[in-house]
Amino acid sequence: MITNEKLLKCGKRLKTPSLFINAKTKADGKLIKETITRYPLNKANSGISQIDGIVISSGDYSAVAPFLLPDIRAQLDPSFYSATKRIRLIDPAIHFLFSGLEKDKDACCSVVEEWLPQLSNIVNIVARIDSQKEKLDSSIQRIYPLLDAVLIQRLLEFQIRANADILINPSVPLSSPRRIDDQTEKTREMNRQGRVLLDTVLSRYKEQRDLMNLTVISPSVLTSAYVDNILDATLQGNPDIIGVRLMNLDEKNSVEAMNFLKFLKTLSSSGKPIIVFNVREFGYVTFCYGANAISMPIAKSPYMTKKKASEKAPHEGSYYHYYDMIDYSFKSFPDNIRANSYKLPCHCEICGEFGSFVNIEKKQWNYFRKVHFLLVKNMEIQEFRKTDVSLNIALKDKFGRSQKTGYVAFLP
Amino acid sequence: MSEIQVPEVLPKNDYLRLPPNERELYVREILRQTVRKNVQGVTASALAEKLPFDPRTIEKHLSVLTCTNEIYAVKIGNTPLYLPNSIPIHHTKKQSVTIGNREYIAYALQNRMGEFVFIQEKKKTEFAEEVRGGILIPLADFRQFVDFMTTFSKDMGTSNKGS
Repeated sequence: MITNEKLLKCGKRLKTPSLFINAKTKADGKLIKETITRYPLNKANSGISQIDGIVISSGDYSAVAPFLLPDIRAQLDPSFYSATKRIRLIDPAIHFLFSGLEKDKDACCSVVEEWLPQLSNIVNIVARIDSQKEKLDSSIQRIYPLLDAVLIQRLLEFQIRANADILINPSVPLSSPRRIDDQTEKTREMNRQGRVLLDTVLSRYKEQRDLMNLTVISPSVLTSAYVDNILDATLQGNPDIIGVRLMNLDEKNSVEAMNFLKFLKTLSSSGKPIIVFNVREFGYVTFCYGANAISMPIAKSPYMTKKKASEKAPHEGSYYHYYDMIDYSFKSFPDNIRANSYKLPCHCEICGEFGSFVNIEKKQWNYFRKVHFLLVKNMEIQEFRKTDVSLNIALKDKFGRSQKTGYVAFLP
Repeated sequence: MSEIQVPEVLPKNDYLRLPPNERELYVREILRQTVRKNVQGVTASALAEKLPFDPRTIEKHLSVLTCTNEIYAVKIGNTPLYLPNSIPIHHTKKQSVTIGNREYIAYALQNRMGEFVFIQEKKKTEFAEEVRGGILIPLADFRQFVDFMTTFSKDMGTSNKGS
């Protein structure tokens, strides 16, 4: 596979296929910094040098940013691929105002509080509504009017100050077939406004930063009745790059997954680079449908799952299996490797250092599995970039030997 | 006159909510883009019809753009027709120098009055570039202008400063 590159206005290059990582917390920032600095330990591996971008939500920026400052080592060694040399995206992530965890809502509100102090209060009132239908209607009625050009301008300025390499137009999620017309109309309006603002009051940056229209979408609305309208809204304002953020894709629902892939294929005919946000291994499939880059969270599911009040997430997170391509929980993982004397089933550097599951202390587990995740994702993307055959064949081969054989059916 | 072309604009309510400085920048940039899009020229009344700005605001900004030589006006009867001034003869004939937070750009350009050297001063703010002034010198007279500036510089005793 030959890797294509697009030169961005900021001077960095967007390779195809590329993998970006979502950094959400202070711990994620620290982890990325340490992994970049510590690996590779030997020439056979490449650390995380194949991971070309870091995505941070605006609400998480203050926690993560201190770890992504210019590195002295990059000045001493020009070949050192520091965090600042990678593509940096600051996602305004205002979809959190409509759905998501309370802490994400609060973080998002705190970013805009200075310019829009009333937003937090309104978002909280809307979030307390029990009925999903009423909540959506109320958010459209009460939150949409606040998302005006001034807010868009401030969020673009926020990204410029944060040294984002691509400016992301904020937009509302497209989530409900019932209110899709209102949602697409608002998306269209915001995309148009973002472009006008960049060309006028932010004109100093119009030749220095690409503008991305980021459509936040639930696959349930990607049916033939709405898709043209959604495509039109996504391409409003002639963006330089298109982003698609997936919300809660049910990968077992092959119709939804296929609809999404067809949507991507149609988008790719616009000739603009596409970045798919918030995916895991399914993201690799999107490379065969026109996506140039994907972003994924570090060692966790990209989707929210509702848990019962009594259900508590385990403190020890899951381990991504390089060959099976699935996550094993801390409890089930030892059973899986017992037959092999608990030897870690991976040849990444940190697995090599520990050797066996029994050598990992419980307090080290989360750090270990996240570093392992980064190193393994680096290996996977390297594998796809260096394959001698076309990417779809390489993916068929990879998925066919894993537990994700279901993905083979999606590949062209 | 044929229908004029206008760029995408913000809804009136939104643009009115921009802070005053940014609103000024915004209106001027939209007018600049509109005149550029309409090489056959536009009148103030046609702009007022098509753009969501007050006619007095439009006239004020058109006169600023005229003063900075980014556009020029030709009178047809009593009505001024505004035309874009920046049609470069050749893209390579554009050079700039940045001194402090100001950028001076020299373009070779052509309009219906002839060929000119256009020197423009832009001030960089945090997020935007603001045109602060501009002069047009007929290309045929440019050498004479440079000689004049050289003599002036010598008289001021500044020719060797900063070197």
